[in-house]
Amino acid sequence: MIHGCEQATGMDNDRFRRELSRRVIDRRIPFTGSLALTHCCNLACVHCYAREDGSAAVPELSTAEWLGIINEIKEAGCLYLLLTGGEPLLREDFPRIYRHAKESGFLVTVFTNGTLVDAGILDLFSALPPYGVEISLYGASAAVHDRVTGVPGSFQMMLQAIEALQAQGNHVRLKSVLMTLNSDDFPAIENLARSLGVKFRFDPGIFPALSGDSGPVALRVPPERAVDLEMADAAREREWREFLDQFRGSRDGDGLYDCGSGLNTFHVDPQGWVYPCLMVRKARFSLLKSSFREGWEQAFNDFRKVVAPDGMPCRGCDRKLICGYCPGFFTMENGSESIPSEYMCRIGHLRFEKLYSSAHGG
Amino acid sequence: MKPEARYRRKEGIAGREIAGESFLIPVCGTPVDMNNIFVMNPMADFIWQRLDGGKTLATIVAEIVEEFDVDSDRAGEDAGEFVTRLLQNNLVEALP
Repeated sequence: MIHGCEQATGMDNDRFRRELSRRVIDRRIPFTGSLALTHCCNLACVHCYAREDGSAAVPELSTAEWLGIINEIKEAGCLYLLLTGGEPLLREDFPRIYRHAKESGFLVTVFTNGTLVDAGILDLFSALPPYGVEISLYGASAAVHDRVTGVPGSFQMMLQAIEALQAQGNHVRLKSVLMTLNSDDFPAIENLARSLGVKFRFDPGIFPALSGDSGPVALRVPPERAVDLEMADAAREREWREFLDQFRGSRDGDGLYDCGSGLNTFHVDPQGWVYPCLMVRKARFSLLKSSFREGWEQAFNDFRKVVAPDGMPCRGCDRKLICGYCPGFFTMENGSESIPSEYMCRIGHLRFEKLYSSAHGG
Repeated sequence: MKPEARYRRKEGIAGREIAGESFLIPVCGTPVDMNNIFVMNPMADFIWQRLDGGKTLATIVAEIVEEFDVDSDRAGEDAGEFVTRLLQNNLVEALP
């Protein structure tokens, strides 16, 4: 009967979310997208995969072009929209693009390094609150954070931004990359996030830059150390186990690309190229040459049909769910989508061992 | 809730149709409001479209009875319940 309405608070209504997710996949709706508004960044993070690759020399999309793209992806069914970069707040037209996305009915999240959150941005977010703001935190002190970003003062600016955004009640989340330069700062970094009252996550996955520069890989922390730090937090270990229990078996198919890439996810770069996701560069189409709908319907069909080769160790591996499996990463690291990252493979095994042994009292 | 009452959708709410569902997405308000995403079934959507401040609740209920397989008591009850939730979530306003 109910002729009222169903409220999915923050999409936390599990039954509804699952049903919607199934329908989105069945109909291949580009439900989740990211727009990299610019390649430019005012920081110079040592591990950045998107560091200068020559594309900055190519003109970036104009304001009118971004607004038009937002209209197109709305029409195609995108709901979750990430505005990222580079550093998206570097664009002078960020407020206009953000406002248009919000008024068009997207759930807009902004990734920022937190150094450019001025009064104008705070006013904008006060009038039109974002669905979320994610800020990168690389150290618990200026000495560590600024060493990673390469810009003195960035830590202090970021902290001020977090506090100002928090004071407005915005949904701020912090994320970090675990690396040799900051591993000794964990868990002080986590404690800092906790003291600020914000959610925090970190990832040990560091890959060569999209330009092919493998320099960032040298910053990886040994897998044993990374997993020890991950599982040092009981709540996080519990989340990992719940995730594993809930989704075990869900990636047992033989498709090489078995995630949402190009299925319900897309990424648009600053020049208007659309990719299946942020990491997969295997297929693309240009929004300067075709409409989003045409490209979406035609450009991403073939790569989704690629089967994982027989000898690929990931086939049937029960660690696949928690190792960070991603053919896009594999391509960046090994030049082949089907040669897994040994580093992430080892991390996956260690995570599994840890979760399995502690689940059985070991 | 009086039959002659009239309600109007507030500004700052975007309606979206995705995967066969009708969503109400808050555009402005407090950050907490940003999580209040409503998903409407066909009847709720039917009512929402008519909350333009011009029609009384009684008129909307009569239109529901014409459009859906439901009697007027049930339609009145459901419309009242829906509008109450919209009022509670600051999505519509009652006109004097």
